[in-house]
Amino acid sequence: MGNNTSLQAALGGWPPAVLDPAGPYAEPVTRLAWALLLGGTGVLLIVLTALAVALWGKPALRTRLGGDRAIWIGGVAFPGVVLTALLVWGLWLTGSLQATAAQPGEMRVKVTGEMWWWRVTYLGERGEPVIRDANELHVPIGQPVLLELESADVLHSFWVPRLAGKMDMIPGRRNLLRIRADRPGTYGGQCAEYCGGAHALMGFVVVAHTPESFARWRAERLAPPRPASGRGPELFLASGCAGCHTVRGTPANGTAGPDLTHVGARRSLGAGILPNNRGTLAGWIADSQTIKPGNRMPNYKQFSPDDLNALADYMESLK
Amino acid sequence: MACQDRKLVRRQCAADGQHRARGIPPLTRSPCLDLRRDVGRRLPGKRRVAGANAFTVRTMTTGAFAGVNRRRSPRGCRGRQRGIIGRDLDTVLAVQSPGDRTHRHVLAPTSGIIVQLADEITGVEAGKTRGQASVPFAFQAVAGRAGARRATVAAAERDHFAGRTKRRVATHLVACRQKQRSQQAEAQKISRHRTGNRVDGGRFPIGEGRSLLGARILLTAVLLLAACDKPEIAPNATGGEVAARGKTAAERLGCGACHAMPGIWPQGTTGPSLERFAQRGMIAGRYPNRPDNLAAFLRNSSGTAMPTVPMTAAQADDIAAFLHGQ
Ligand code: HEC
Ligand code: HEC
Ligand SMILES: [Cu+2]
Repeated sequence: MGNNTSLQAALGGWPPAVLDPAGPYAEPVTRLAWALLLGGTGVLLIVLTALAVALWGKPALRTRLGGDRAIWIGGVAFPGVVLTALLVWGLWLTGSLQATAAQPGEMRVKVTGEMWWWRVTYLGERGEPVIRDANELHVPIGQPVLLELESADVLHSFWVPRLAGKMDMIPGRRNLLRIRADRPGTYGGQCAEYCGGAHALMGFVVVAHTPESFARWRAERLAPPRPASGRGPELFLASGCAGCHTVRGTPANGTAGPDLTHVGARRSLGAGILPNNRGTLAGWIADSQTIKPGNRMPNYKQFSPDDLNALADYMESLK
Repeated sequence: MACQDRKLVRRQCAADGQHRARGIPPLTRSPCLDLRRDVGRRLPGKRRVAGANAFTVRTMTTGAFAGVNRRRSPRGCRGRQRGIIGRDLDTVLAVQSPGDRTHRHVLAPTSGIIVQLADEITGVEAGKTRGQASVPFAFQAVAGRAGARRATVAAAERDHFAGRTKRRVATHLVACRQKQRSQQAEAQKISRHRTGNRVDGGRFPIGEGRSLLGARILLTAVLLLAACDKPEIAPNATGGEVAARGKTAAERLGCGACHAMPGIWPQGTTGPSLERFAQRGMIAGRYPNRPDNLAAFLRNSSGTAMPTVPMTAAQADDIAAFLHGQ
């Protein structure tokens, strides 16, 4: 995404720090990565030392290096022990990452990879959809959240480096992944499996709340939608937006695009690529194809500035 | 503070001593000393200058001016005058003095810049908190920390002070005319020193009124020698701190959703391209293209096809500086 690092910094959590785990499901991955790096460096040094001895060492040393014993120890015993230990330790370390089925009372969220955005559905006890959102995942801190990862079209991969390892999203399958954030904050994520033209522009954020603020967020999302005023809603329905987008409490119930019931409350637009304000909303509606080439929303160049602004204002009011 | 001042004087004396020993004339009227006097004249009493992080400004705000001004006496430096000292100058000296024999040469032009900075800063009224962030950069650069060629850059940064464009343009015109008249002479008079710009055969002309303007013109001339046909001193000045802040602000506000702006992603097409905006005559076809008008337009673009994007006054000013700096 080249130049927009500072833009993403403004969105919070960008660019995601890969080696700075913020929860127990990312920590072992980081630890393993460091162990492999350091261990590998150690082995490399040993090999280089042996090479140096072989090239320039005293004849006695060189003879010993070429002897049976050195080969048995350095060539068989050492790698055997190190690799076995590493395997056992690695399995033990990452065993806890294997997500098991939902525990009773555990928070469940279905995240569906779409070309090129994320459909986020918060599930109830029985797996029924409760809150629908997109491109943003809200979780309470200190508690594991089970993610059910699916894909609507092609392979994607869900990756929030600071909270968990990568997990592929495979059409026709449901992969489970647990995340837990220990501190409030925003944690950037990114699709990590090439999925087509706009793959690089397919980001998202995980927003970790304190329990109180999470409860507030949830109550807001469950509250009945406030009726909107002005010309915006009318334009939205009349321009065909409703065919692809849902705005709860209105006739708009399309599902091809992200749910816009709370689009004004999102931190970003277009799957983590633009800040969210009146300007970018208007810009996105008029010209999303320049901003995110190939995305599945058509350009709307036909609006007059007034209409465009009315629509943007409406979108912005959908908090 | 007094102690620090004494230290400064001692250091300066020591430097003078070394210079004398090597046959270099002592700093009777070192630009640095002139500067202190100069700033003193400009700042009667404790004048509050609002400023965020520029350390000159901070120095001024905390009133760290109860300094000394050295009057040379035959036996070195005993005579004292009440005057003004900016603590930042110590920093400059401290950085440049040790082991750098040429620091006198460096001091001359850099002090020239400092005087101008001081001048510009004192021109800023209390409450106006922005426009000064280029100061620390300039200081660092002229202080030698940033390496040889940066002094030139620093001088250019100075001109990115927001709201100063009018004067800059005027200066530019003068400088251009000067160039046309005496390009040859000018080129001979000004040579580039390895750690900055130096005027050969004399100290950098700083002082009151006219000569201060002279310093500015000369300095600008140096910077403009190569680029007289461009209205900007530092073309494509992404290095300018204000401009850089403006660029960051534009990115964070997502102006790229509708405009192509230099170095900003995305490059939207809903609004007009803002590349080389400084050369545009009108803003949105209705206001003369000046930074202040631009900032005002950005804060309220109602009545045009552009939605008003909520932003602070400081962000608007920064973005205006950014768009005018390329
Ligand atoms: C053909 C289906 C379709 C139509 C019609 C459509 N959209 Fe979209 N819209 C999408 C898709 C798909 C996305 C997600 C694009 C992406 O991020 O890759 C989207 C994204 C958006 C977003 C950004 C949402 C977010 O959180 O990132 C907004 C706002 C939006 N559309 C508003 C509108 C408006 C207003 C209209 C009518 C003028 C409209 N859309 C018409 C499919 C459509
Ligand atoms: C919704 C799209 C949109 C967004 C977002 C937007 N602009 Fe504009 N902008 C426009 C349009 C359309 C015009 C033309 C206005 C006119 O001439 O009536 C314009 C005009 C301008 C102009 C005057 C250009 C000229 O040629 O005179 C400037 C400067 C400008 N915008 C800066 C910005 C900045 C800075 C931002 C970010 C804070 C921004 N714009 C965000 C659509 C947008
Ligand atoms: Cu992808």
